[in-house]
Amino acid sequence: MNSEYLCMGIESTAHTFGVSIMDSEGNILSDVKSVYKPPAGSGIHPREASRHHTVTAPNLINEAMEKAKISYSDIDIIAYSAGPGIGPCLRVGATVSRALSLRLKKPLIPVNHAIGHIELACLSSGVKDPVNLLVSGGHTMINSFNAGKWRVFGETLDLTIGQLIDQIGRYAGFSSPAGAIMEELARKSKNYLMLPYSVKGNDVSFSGILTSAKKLLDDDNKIEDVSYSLQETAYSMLTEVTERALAFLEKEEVLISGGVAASSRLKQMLDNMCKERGAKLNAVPKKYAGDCGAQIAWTGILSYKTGVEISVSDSWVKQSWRLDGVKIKWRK
Amino acid sequence: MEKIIKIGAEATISRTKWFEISAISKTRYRKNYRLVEIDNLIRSKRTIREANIMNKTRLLKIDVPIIYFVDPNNAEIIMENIDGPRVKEYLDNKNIDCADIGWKIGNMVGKLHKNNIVHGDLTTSNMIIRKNGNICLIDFGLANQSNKLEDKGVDIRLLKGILNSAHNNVFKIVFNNFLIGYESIMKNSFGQIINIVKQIEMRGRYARVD
Repeated sequence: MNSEYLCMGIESTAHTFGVSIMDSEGNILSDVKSVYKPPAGSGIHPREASRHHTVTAPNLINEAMEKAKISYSDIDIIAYSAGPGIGPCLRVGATVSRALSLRLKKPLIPVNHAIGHIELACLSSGVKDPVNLLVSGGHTMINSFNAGKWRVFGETLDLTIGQLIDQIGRYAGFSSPAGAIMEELARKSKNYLMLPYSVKGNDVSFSGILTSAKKLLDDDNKIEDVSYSLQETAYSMLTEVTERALAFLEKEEVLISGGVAASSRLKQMLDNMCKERGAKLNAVPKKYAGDCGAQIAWTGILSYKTGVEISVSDSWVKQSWRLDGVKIKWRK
Repeated sequence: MEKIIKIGAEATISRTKWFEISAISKTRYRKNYRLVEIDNLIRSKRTIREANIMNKTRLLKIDVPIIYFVDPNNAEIIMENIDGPRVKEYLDNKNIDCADIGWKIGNMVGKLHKNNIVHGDLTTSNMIIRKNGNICLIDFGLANQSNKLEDKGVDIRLLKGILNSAHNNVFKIVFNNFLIGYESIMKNSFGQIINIVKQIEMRGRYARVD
């Protein structure tokens, strides 16, 4: 192996428990995960999700090791998702990581989950200095790197796009995450029903869409039409604020990351917007759009290279940990 | 002869002539990524509202471009051409008085808010500095008339966010002087609005400390 060191990354912020082995050149040797599925019509239950993680963790770790074809003594650092996320879920990943760190006597690295999404997307798409749209169940924000931090140029003032989609999906009786099924339903409709379009400067607000879309469902509108209208409205808003950040920052690269980056309609709109103004859209590959161990492993490697490390006794998890509070030394 | 100066996020700005005067044309062209139903509504609504609120703002003796002509069907406004650097470029220049700029912006936004106008897009690229040092406020596409403290708070939070993210090295001096200028106009309601700004910030995802 040419690379300087190997990192095991453990992701455990919400519904996904993920384990990945990466080398410091950026190669993903393995990336495995298991996603907790709540019953149809309900959301993530923190206790049930953390139980899922506890049960699946040992097998996933073994699987990641086998796929990477390495032995435990080859691992040089352990990175874990320290926040933001659901407390009981975060604690499972942290506990597993602490145990591995103690047993293998290897350094432990706390990673911010949101930065993980962005850095893995940068790595896999090769972009250097993008305007990033991070869209998932936990985040909806527009970021750009400036003066040592990933800054927030716009964000949701209430719900995230993932929450909006999941809550309507749940209301219609589907299980979360509902993005894929909602997009499939939306494809079957061309009947636009008016929903509130709320852009406030560089920020968006989705709560009005949630209320109105529920009402449309109560009034016996077809779920296909509601999904279609919701997507068209919410994704147009996201595309508009991304364009606003692009125009303000005078940049030419857009990156889309996070679980909702799997949506082909959103990517189509962003691509359309980028082409019209001579910019380029880069998207994280669908496989790495959702929560995964690789986002933690890669950011762990970047962090470790710039001296980030924590002792097991001082290690922590934070449910609220905004990405613009994290100093980043690996970018100029 | 029209010459495109800038392709903004929602409109194209070009230099043109209005009779014999040099002027600016702001046209909201169709966005192909949006459904026509959404797009038409947004373009015509924002164009009419922009012109309307710019006129009202002008009556308050706040410096905004003079409007010459409005065409809602083509979503076009023809207005005065303002020469000068935008505050965005100005703040990057080391030899300027950032405190004075901050105070002037605060004073201007105070006058707007006192008269129940919220701008909706208070970024440093929407303020042009004239030769005489006045700040001219442009781009009222997201402006609104509102007496709600919440809307005024959202306005301030946006400016604060832009100063913090894009002009981080002068953030403190500009924003502190903004607050002084803003308070000088808002007087008694100043404290209430600043509290709302804090509340809005705390509503941000993961902003609350556990």
